[in-house]
Amino acid sequence: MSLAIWISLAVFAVTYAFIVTEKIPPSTAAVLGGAAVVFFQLIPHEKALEHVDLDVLFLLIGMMTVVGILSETGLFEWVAVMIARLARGRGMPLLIGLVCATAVLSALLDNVTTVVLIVPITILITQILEIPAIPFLILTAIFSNIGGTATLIGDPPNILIGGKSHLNFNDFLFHMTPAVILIMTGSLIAVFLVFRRAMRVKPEARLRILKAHPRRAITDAVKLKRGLPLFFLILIGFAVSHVFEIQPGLVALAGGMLMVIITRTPLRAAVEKVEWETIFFLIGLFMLVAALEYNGLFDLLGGGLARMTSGSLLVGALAMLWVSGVLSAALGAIPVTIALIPLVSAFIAQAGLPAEQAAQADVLWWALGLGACLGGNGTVLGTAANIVVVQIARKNRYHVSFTHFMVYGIPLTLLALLLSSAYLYLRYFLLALY
Amino acid sequence: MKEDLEFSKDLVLLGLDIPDKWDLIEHMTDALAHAVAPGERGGVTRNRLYEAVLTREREKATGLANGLAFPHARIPGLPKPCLCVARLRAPIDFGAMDGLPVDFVVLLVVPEDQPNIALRVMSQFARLFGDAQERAYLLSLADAESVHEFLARRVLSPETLVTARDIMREPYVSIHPDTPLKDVTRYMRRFGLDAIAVVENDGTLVGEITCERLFTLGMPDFFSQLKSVSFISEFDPFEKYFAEERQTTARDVMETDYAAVPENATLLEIVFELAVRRHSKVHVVQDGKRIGAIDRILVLDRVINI
Repeated sequence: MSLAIWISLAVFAVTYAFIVTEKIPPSTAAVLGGAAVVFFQLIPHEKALEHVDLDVLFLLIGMMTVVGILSETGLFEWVAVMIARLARGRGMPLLIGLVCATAVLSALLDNVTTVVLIVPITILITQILEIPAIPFLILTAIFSNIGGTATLIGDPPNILIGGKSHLNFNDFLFHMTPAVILIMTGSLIAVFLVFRRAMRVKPEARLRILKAHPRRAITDAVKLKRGLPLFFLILIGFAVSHVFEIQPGLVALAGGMLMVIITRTPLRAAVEKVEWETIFFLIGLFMLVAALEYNGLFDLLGGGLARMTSGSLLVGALAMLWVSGVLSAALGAIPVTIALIPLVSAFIAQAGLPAEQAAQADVLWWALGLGACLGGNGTVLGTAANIVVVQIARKNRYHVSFTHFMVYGIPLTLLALLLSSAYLYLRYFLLALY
Repeated sequence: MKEDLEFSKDLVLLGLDIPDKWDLIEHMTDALAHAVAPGERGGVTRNRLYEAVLTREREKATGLANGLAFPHARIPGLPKPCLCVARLRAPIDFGAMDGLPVDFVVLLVVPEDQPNIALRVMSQFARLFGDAQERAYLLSLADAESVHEFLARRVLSPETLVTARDIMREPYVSIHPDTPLKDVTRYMRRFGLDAIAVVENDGTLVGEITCERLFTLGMPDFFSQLKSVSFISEFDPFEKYFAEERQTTARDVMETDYAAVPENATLLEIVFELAVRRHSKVHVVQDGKRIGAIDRILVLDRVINI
């Protein structure tokens, strides 16, 4: 390995130490790390900027703007209260209803946004029903990550993969959504078996929910009537954008600006909803990983991986799934995905697959997506959604420790990775349904 | 200011013996109408002057503190401010903020578009009467000419800015850090306070408790993330508040990012704290000790609504 690779790795490691230990804000650490690789001339300035994937950033900024505006209408409170009413205040149906709603919302929205919207109303409902809030909170984080795995726009790893590969919104629906349905089913069965006795609600507490008025949760019906149809139009835009060779990021950003106009929201108020920390975090990481890629680290690793797996797609896919899963749990899904994307590209390039198998190589992307998204559930640090849920919980005096989260996270992550392995093997290798 | 102000030694009335403030106002208005020619008053009649001062006084008593009262009015058509002062033989009730009777009355009428002059004159008189020595000297002067000369030199000459000291209210209620929360809320209700200062025994300001803070004690954090709560009818967030109230003291809940300004802080600084930084009260401090307070109503009352 060249000296440039070693220095790039050292900068990456130091930055990473700051990100994980949170001695300084992770976004700041990432941007400073990204600047450092340019200052140390490990990568030319313009090359580093080329790697800052504007499509990914546009997608996040656009969707955060859209959801921020919609959230002002009380829509998400309405959804949660409706679920509580439909569950008639019973604990287990409520838990399953809320985590399913979280998963569906996460598939369509950014995960952090989803949990920020769902967790406060979830805490309120659990307090009203006098049932333990912590299982609800941890499972909300976990199911938001599972649900987000289903679509290109749902989880940051998928957004990143979509940005760096040829895969479009519909490809993700076709390949990832069935896997997520399988994993959701397995996880819900596990949740039901574990919590079926812990969610008993007193009759008088149930009565409080039955007296709730979900319609009153809608605080701005006019904005909702204007914004919701546009939101579905944006989703349709994602599905058809590849036909017009338009990237999802532009659809989201343009959709966000249209939402601003149609709902008559001041632009300043709308963009305040964007989590700029995440945007800066990604900008920094893009530049950091760009230096590693520019200096040839991933070519080396990709070649090594190809040799180790003897070019076998099955071994490569399973290795990618579990390696990305374990690394995401330990280091966080976003940086691991950014680091592994060039590795997948290099593996595909160096595995020497025959032309007829080229399309089959996409299984590696699905393996990376499943591994990174679902592996992030292993620990609090795995995804931003986990961290946000734990922070909101702490502010409301529910202490979720690192190990407490893992008690839920590790078994469900192992289950999800096992089911993913089965899915990848059965679909792509046994049944060959590419 | 002196050149723009109608104030002669004929407008200094000494040794008056009028026990009723309404009669006193009428007497001073007569003196003003007599001393200032109709042409100098822009044709504003004595009755209009009197009615305007009377109307303002009925809205809210203009007794300040330290024996000083400041009846005043803004009058359309008046070409320049006119000032009349009266020293009383016996103090009379003027609804002063310190509850004490007053023995020196300053009556000022200003053109409608020059309320700032009224504010400055009021500030300068308030400053003069805040100084015990200066006040005693003014009250000891024997004749109208000396009083006129003193006021023209001491009060009406410099174009000074209005400062915190001029408009602040003397501190009349504060609490110790160890005061139980229950008593804090009682004090605030009793005195109708939006915010209360937390002060050590030696007068050092250490914190502030606001109504907003007390409400948020009862409101868990997640409420701030919700868009509304009207969909829930049966839930009582104050259950938790009352559970915690018993063992909580002012020190536990006070906020330390209160607004504190020195006594020479300008009006702009004060309004900035109240309007831009959204503090409900500005504490005036000297060497860390609280010497006064200014809230929004006080600024409305003494500045904007002059």
